[in-house]
Amino acid sequence: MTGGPRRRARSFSRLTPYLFIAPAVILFSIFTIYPIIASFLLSFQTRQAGSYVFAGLANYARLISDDYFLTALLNNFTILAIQVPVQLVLALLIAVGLNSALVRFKGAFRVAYFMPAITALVAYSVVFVILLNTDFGLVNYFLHSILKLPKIDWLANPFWAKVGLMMAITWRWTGYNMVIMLAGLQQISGELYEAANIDGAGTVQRFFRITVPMLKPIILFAFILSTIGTLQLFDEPYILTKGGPNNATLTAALYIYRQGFQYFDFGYASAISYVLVAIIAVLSWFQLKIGGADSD
Amino acid sequence: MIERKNLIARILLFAGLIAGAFLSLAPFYWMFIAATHSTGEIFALPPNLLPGKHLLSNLANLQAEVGLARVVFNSTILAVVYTIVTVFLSAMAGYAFAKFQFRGRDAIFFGVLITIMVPYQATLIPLFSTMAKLGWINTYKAVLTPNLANAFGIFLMRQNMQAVPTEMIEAGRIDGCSEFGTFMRIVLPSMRPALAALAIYMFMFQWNNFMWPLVVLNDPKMYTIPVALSSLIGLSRIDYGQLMLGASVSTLPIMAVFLILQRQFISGILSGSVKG
Amino acid sequence: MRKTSRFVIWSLVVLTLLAGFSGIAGAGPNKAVAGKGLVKGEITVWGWNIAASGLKDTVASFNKKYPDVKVNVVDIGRLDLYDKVTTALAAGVVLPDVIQIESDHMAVYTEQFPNGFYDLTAVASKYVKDFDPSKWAQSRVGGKIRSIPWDSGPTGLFYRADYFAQAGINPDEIKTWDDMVEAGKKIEKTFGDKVKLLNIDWTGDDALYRMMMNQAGAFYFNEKGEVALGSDTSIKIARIIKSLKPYSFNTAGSWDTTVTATKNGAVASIPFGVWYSGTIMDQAPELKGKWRVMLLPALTGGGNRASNLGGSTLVIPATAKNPEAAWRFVENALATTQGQMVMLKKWGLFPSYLPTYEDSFFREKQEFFGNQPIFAIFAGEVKDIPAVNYTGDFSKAHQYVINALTQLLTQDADPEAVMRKAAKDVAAATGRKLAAR
Repeated sequence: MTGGPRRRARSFSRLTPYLFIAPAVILFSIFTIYPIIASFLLSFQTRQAGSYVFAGLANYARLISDDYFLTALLNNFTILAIQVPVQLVLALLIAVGLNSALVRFKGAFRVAYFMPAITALVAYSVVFVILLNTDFGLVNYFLHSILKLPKIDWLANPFWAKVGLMMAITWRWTGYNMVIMLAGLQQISGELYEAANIDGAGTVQRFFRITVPMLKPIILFAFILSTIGTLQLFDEPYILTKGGPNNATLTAALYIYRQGFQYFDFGYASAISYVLVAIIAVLSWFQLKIGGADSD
Repeated sequence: MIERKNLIARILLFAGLIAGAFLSLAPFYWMFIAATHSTGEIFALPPNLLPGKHLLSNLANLQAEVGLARVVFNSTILAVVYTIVTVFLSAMAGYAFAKFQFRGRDAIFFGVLITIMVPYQATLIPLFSTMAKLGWINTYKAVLTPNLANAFGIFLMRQNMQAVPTEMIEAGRIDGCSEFGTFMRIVLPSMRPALAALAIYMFMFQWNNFMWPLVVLNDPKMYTIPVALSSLIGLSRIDYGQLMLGASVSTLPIMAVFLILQRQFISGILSGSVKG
Repeated sequence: MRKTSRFVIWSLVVLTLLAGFSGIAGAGPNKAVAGKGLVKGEITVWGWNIAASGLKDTVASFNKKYPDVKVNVVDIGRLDLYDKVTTALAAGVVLPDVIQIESDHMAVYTEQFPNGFYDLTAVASKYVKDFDPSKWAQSRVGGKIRSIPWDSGPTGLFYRADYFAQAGINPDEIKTWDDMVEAGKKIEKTFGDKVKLLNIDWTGDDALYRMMMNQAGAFYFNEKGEVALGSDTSIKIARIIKSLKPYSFNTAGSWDTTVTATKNGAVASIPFGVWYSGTIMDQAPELKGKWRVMLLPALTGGGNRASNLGGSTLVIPATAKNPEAAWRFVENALATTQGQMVMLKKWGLFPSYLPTYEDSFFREKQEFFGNQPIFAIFAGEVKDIPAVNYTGDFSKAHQYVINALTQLLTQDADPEAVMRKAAKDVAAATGRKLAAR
């Protein structure tokens, strides 16, 4: 009350920050936190004759011996192990290329690469289902009629369905990650590269000695985003392959949808969801630990 | 020698980038071309890669089937309103999280962030029954409110707001601005790139949002583009020319928004991902 | 900090308590349509595609009888409709007054939401004798009528008369599925790789399996609700399907592939429900006069050749605002010859309402099918379709069977091993008993 101007400038009503976050936090509590808690409680319940009864950990216990769930998780991790690194490396290479002084039309390229990420799911799905059609699709037409290669069962062969799925995801998200990395590259000071040039470092050395280390926080950010996205992967398998053939592209999120919306086992679906949340949390924590340990 | 090597590198790099851009854009080209063909022509072999003659008839069919003008209008209004409100709420919350010390700050912020990990399939039903209890089913309120407070938006704004110099805020206070006035007149204007980046994200999100509008909207007159397009995909008799035209229409506005705002977009993402 | 943590914890506790009272709706009381109330106001009807179009065309005759009811028929895509209905039923929320549900999905819904739909027993009992008896097995749950059968899907083998003639196949000599294998060889000899005898979905659906099981009066589950995938019949059918594989065109879960293969002449025959006749006429008008229809071959010489694939019902959700008017609408559309004939003639929706079969339309020769009276063939088959038990676990079991067939057809798995395994897995996933073989 008696402070001078300096003190007055620093102080703010204790209520102020709460007022600033209030609208968001209230909406968030009602429409995000509350449904999450409700569905979490549901994971301890099971349906009997149309009503829900408490079932303890039965839903969670059931998960352990559920082959389909384990297959789905394995698929998620396969995609995580193969598609995510490929996508991030591609994104990084394109970003470095676009950042190089040698290239013109940067704006046009940026837009071209980012375009797939902004396409509506419905449009994307219809286009890819037709393009990848085994007998009448454009992709096989080029492989078979023009390059004289055998036709590939893109969506119906267990191996190729996985490949096709990963191709589609890569198509959709590489540009998105590229833009994130490009933003990071523009932060790296040119002086670092000049110094390296004087030391006689080649392109490859500069890439590994300067670009990659300087970009580490950004790569980590993109990696965590991609990890969460991959573990929650739903759109592509739902539309392109319906999880088939023979569960080759079944993912955990698709399995949650099936258990809930096709088999009406919402309790079990919730249990799967929270196991998935736990896995994502643990993975993200490890990624931060490993990635963050020697930065800063 | 160096010149020559440089030239080769340049050509190779350029060729690689062109090839990648071609792969990125080819499906769009095909989609736009398919929008001018009939279903039979779309499935024909060898494929039709040049514009056909059915654009106008596809357009007429699409208008008759889903009321194209109407759903485009609905989508636009929803996406614009959503974008404005969300960006504003996110900026307010992000500002408080970045620039104020207060009890529970980190706990609440962390609580907001961690919800990103929950798959939406899990919360769809409880959210829907909340809407039902509020009596909001089949209203635009129900489409908009669940994601108005957006974890990603709050995160992005908090990261960006940390760059706002504290002196600037204090100057505002000394000048006698209210806290809210300071935020409106001093903080927000300095945040334009970040706001633009978030606006693109949020516009994209709402424009393409499918599952939620599908379950809460029952009246076809209120449908958004993705929901209307999806209603064209039934068990039999899909008119692909019409569908491709609808898909093209759903893509063009986003392309335009991105083209206009792309510079700000990149610098906005930048500060979101680096700091913190 | 401690104060805030306490605040956060308490908020969570309150939210949790609130959440405990919400989420998913319980069973609710059984509601029945009395058929006595005033019929006026407004009703909303959900269906998809041609079914919605068909219902729209019955509104005129309905409004002649009940001029005070305004009817809104809304066309919602099939998968979208199920997502919306499931969400709403689970949350116990108001749905429209009438909804289309496929017959095979009925038990899935009624088992999980026992009182989710109006009990129509009181008003619909008088019509029981008028509908395809095999359809009631899906519409009646625990002795109560929860839905009214709409269209039936009596099956047949659509075939290209010109291809068969070229390959020297006499369609009258195809009596069993084994005869089909022989026909497949002839087609292969004549056309090489260009034309296959029939379409089979190797990886995306089990339509052929279901049709054959239905012929044998069997299904995933027996009449006691036990898992019957490992039965001798089931294994035999898996064997037949595997023997047909070399002569089949794989449609891989894609409807468009099926239609395009039909149009492009990549298949010489298509085993499907009557509803496919409309698709052929619609999508391939240039093939007029080339197609014919016969009943599906039997599993054994002289065996049953009738079965059903597909078909829908109409339900009135328990949350409907205007159930009396809804019932009158359903009655007019489905339980009158006039309503059903409109939908058949214009949209090819094949009625399960038996009195319609007396209509002269059924005896008409169809020019497209070389002047065969194809609807008479399908109508004649209906009385022989065995009723089977779909159960509330249809959707779950469906996925296991599709996967079993995928292994059978793409990984050269042994029919017996694969069906036995599927039976065991379904029993485990559903908590049902394995049927004795």
